[in-house]
Amino acid sequence: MPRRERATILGEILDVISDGTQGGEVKLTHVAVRCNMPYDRFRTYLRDMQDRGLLDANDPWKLTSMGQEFLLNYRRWRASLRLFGMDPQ
Amino acid sequence: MLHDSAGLFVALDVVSLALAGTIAFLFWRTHVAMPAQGFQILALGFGVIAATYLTVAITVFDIAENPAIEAMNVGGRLLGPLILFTHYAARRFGITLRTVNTVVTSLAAVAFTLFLLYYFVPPHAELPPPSSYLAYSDLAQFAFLVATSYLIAAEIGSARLADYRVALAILLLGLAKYSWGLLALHGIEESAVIPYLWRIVGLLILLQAAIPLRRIPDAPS
Repeated sequence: MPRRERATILGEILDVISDGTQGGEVKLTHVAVRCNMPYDRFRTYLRDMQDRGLLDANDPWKLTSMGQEFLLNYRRWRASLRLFGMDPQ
Repeated sequence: MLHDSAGLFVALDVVSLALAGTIAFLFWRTHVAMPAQGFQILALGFGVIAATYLTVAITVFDIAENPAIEAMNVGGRLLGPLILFTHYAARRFGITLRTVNTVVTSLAAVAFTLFLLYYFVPPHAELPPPSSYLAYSDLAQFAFLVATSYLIAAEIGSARLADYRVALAILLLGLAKYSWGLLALHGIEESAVIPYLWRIVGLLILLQAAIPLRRIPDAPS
């Protein structure tokens, strides 16, 4: 998979995690459904993001500073595309 | 020789070229990093619009009084707005057009529009020069840009006014074309600053909206 397309998938997952965990404990399956992704594949991405330093190694629902920065850039990029009616979803 | 008082308008055309070219470049970079037909089409549409600003700038020179360049001017000016319109119209109907299909459709639409313009422009004793279509071409571009603005706004569906700034910017580009079209219809050959104002404000808004595209998401390895 091209590196940049992988980046948008990671951005989408981080977006959902960031929104979904603000109210407290979140179930893995619920987040996977919101990401429109099979459960096993979603777990693989979670481990991948922990390995890349985007999520805390001990708590997959906690974004690291790198993860927050990545998410901020992703949201700005996506907001720009939305203004042009080009939502990447 | 350079026409009198044309320096300001040439400069404004060059500024417009730079703004539109930058927008096209940002979408092209996005396409290269994340191949998607839509990004490529928008890069092409804004790129063609940028190129026509260049051809307008060179018309102030006598070397541009050439039927071929004038024909390119008239046809080329229609192509950019038509590429954008075709892309968004297709999206509205849930169709994802490939770039080549968008361009071919737009070229066919340009040819058809020029055909209509030719038969609706009052005939002369001889074949009228392409530049006489200019006024009607400008008004046709206005129509396509207004339609594109509506299609973008329909795609967004937000309650926030600020989210419609790209649609507004496209509308401003259309307003500039409308102004030039009316000036040409009334036989006013000298250019005016106000249409340039609409155009440059529109391009600045578009550039401001496109600036975040310079930082394409890149997952750390």
